[in-house]
This record gives sequence, C-alpha cells and structure tokens, in this order.
Amino acid sequence: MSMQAAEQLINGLILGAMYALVASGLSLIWGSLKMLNFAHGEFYMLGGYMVFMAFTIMGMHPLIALIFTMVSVFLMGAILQHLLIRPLVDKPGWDVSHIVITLGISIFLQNFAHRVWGENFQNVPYFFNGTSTIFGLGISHQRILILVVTVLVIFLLITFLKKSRAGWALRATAQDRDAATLYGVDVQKVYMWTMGLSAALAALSAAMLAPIYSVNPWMGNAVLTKGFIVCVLGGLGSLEGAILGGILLATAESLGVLFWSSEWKDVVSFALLIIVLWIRPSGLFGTKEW
Amino acid sequence: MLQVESISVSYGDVQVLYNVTVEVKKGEIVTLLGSNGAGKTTTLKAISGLMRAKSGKLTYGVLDLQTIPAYQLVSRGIVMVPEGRRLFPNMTVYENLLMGAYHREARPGINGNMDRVTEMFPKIKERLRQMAGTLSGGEQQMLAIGRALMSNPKLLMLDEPSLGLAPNLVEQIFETIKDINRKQDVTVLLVEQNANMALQIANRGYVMENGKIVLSGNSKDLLNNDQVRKVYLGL
Repeated sequence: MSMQAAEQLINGLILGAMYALVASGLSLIWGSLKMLNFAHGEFYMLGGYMVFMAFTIMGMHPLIALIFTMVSVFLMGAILQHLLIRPLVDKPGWDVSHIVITLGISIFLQNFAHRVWGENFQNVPYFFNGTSTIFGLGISHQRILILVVTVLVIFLLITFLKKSRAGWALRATAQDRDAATLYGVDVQKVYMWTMGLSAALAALSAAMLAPIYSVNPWMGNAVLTKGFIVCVLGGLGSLEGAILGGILLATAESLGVLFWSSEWKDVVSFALLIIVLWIRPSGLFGTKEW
Repeated sequence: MLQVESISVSYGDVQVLYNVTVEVKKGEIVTLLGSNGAGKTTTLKAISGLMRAKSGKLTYGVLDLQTIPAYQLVSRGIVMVPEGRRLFPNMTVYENLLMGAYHREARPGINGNMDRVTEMFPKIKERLRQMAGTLSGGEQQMLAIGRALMSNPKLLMLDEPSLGLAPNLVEQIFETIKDINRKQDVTVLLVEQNANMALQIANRGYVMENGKIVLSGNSKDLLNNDQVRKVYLGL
C-alpha cells in the first residue's frame, strides 16, 4: 500500500507539473490581456502534433523535437494573436468578443487538425527508453524527463519575469496597462509575445506527455477544463497559484485513485475546487497580478 | 514647447472637451485648474496619447503628437504622472523606478538618475525592496514622481499630485515640483484642484469648466481674479 501510494504521489507530481505548465500559460494571458483563452487547449493539441511530426515522422533528436515544437507553436500563438485578437482589443464588446474569437479559433484548429492528420489517434514513442529505480520505485526515464524539463522551464519562466526587461514589460502591462504605455511599453507587442509564450508552454507540456497518452484532434478539451480549474483553484492571474494549484490538484487526483476507482478522478478534482472556493472565494493565492 | 490648439475629445458619444487651447513654453510651470469633471485629466490624456482628439492640433516642438503612438512619447521627453499615481503595485519600489527608465534613451543614464532620485526622496531609498503597493500615500506619490524622473523628462505632466495627501506632505510635494522645474530644467504642466498651492508655484494658469477653458493668465492675476478667488480659493 505505501509503495503504491508513493508511486501515485510521483505520478501526481508529474501530472501536476504538466497542469502547472498549461495553467501558467492561461494565467499569463488572463493576467496581461484579461482574456479567457478558450483556444489554449488547441495550442496544447498542436504541440502534440508538432512533436509527432518532428519526432515520429521526421525522426529528429527528442530535444531538438521539443525545441522545434515550442518554437513553431510560439509562432502560431503570436501570429493568431496579431491577426485575429489584436483588432478586438480595446474595442467595445471585448468582454464577449474575446470569448467568441478564442472559441472560434479553437473550433477552427480542431477541425484543421482533423482534416490534416485525420481522426486516428497518433502514437509518439518514448523519447528515452528504460527505467531507473529510485528509493525502490521504478520510474521510467520519460517521466523523469518530464519532471526535470518542467521544473527547469518553470524556473526559467520565473527568472524571465523577474529579471529580464521583457519580463518587466509583461508584468507592468498586467498590473497597469496605461501606466506601462506611458513609460514606453508597446502593450500590443507584449500581448503578442505573451500569447506566443503561453502557447509554447502548453505545447511543451503536450509534447512531453504525447508518448504517455496519444495525440488526437480533441485532446485539448479536457486539458483546457483542467487548466481553468487549476487557475481558479490557485487564484486567477496568479502564477504561483497556477504552479502550486496544478501540483495540488494532480496529487489529490492521483491519491484519490488509491481510495476510489480512477473514473472518480474528476469528481475528486471538482470536489477540491468547490471546497477551496467555498473557504477562499478568490482561490488559494488570491487574484493578484505578478 | 507644447501647443494644444482647440482640441475636442469625446468618450463614445459624449463630448468632454470643447476647443481646448493650452500652451506651455520651455522652462515654465503651467497649471490647469478646475473642479472634478471639468476635463483636466482628459486634456492630459489627449496630450499623452492615451486618448485621441477628434479635432484640433497637438504639437510638441515640431512634432505632430497625433501621429505618434502613446508608448513612444516618453522617449521624446513627454512624461506623465497619472492621477492616482498608477504605480505597479506588485513590483518592488526599485523595479518601479527601473520601469521609469524602460525606454531606450533613458537606459544610459540609469545609475545617475537612480542616485538623483534616491537622494531627493530618502524615504524611497529605505524601501527599495518593498512592494510599491505597500507604501503610504505620500511615499507612493514620491515614487510616482521618482519613476517619472527616471525617464529623463523634458515636459513633466502631473495629474493631481496633492490628491489625498496630508497638508504638510502637499507642501513637500509642491516644493519638490518647484525644485524639479528650477534645478533640473524640466517644464511642468500641473493639473490641480488645489488652486492656491498650484498658483503659488506656477508661472501661468488656465481655468477649465465643463470641458472648456474659461480663464487664463499669469498666476498673480489669477490669484487676484474675483471669480477664481470665490470659486477656487474660497475667499
């Protein structure tokens, strides 16, 4: 039992790392643009297909394939922001129009993927084979890779936000857009880069999970819901909230499997959300900007 | 230096400025007076590009301000301290000051400016690592002015810097503004409700009512004007 619990805990951590990546992307977009991005799941899905193309079809080295995936989905996010969302920012009706446009992008991308890659589930082989035994637990190298890469990326993301000029511009825009403009920040450019970054984070998480699950045009749906739950759980717009909320949610889900069957996973996560919101309506870390 | 020639501005269908004309010459302190909702803040927003005038002309030196995106004005020396300070609350005091020097032209002078600002506001210096949102009102106003000075302003626009501050702090802020103008050679456009204090440091003033300029002149003349004395000075 305790061995099984420890194994589930590790699985929870790994899944939590992925939730954290997806949710921090949503959180960045909410923080800066005040936009609920319903197309976020599709950037995740595109990440899956990009790694499928790069690794399975073209046979690139796994790390090159990951970088290729992030860069290509970054560009897709930035271009879609520039072409389709930017014209609506600051216009009357933004509260509704941002939902309509991102839902539209989401439906378009799902059907685009369906048309291009078909409805078959595509498999991506493990990047690295083999298993290591750590404290008596067998953990596959793929899972270790996920954990290491996620921790590294989250560390880089926080360093970027706190230490780089671009990161300051992003935070300043999120905290006070007009003041950022007055001090020389081109906020439209910030929005474009933020959207790209957010999409790339989702794509990275999909790319690393692709060998464990499989790739299909609708894989973004469930992830989007989970991403929103994590964001609300941690406090909408809070980056720490997205990271810790993701880990908390996934751990609870994984441990829940020990007591109930795995179909009850979503019940556990929604119950956790309801309890947290009941006690702390603004989420664990409150709604604040970084 | 700055010429605002009969601009009109609307929020949607509601017109809030009617043919407003304001001139600021190099080296001056000019104040824009008026009660709440008179259009003072809107005038500043139109100059800084946060709002666009639907008619009229805005020129700064030889530049037509209407053709320049708002975010590029700071590198030309037009810097605004907005109403309510508008600091970045979850950034540290130090980061807020650095944001003042965000634009390319201010970067080379960043260390000198930082020394100058922290020397001017010793209270700010003690709190560099603190989040800006945790400062008191007076400290926030000093930080807002400090952030603006980090941008190497040529024309500094301040929107109600005395709002919500205790009387002794108000005096200190006005002294600071005067110093910035005299010692650092910065032209100042000051929006105020505190007409008495503003006219004491300003060279000239404009009085706004319902989106129009109704009166203008030297500070001395305005201080002695019956209408101003009655409505704005309560004498």
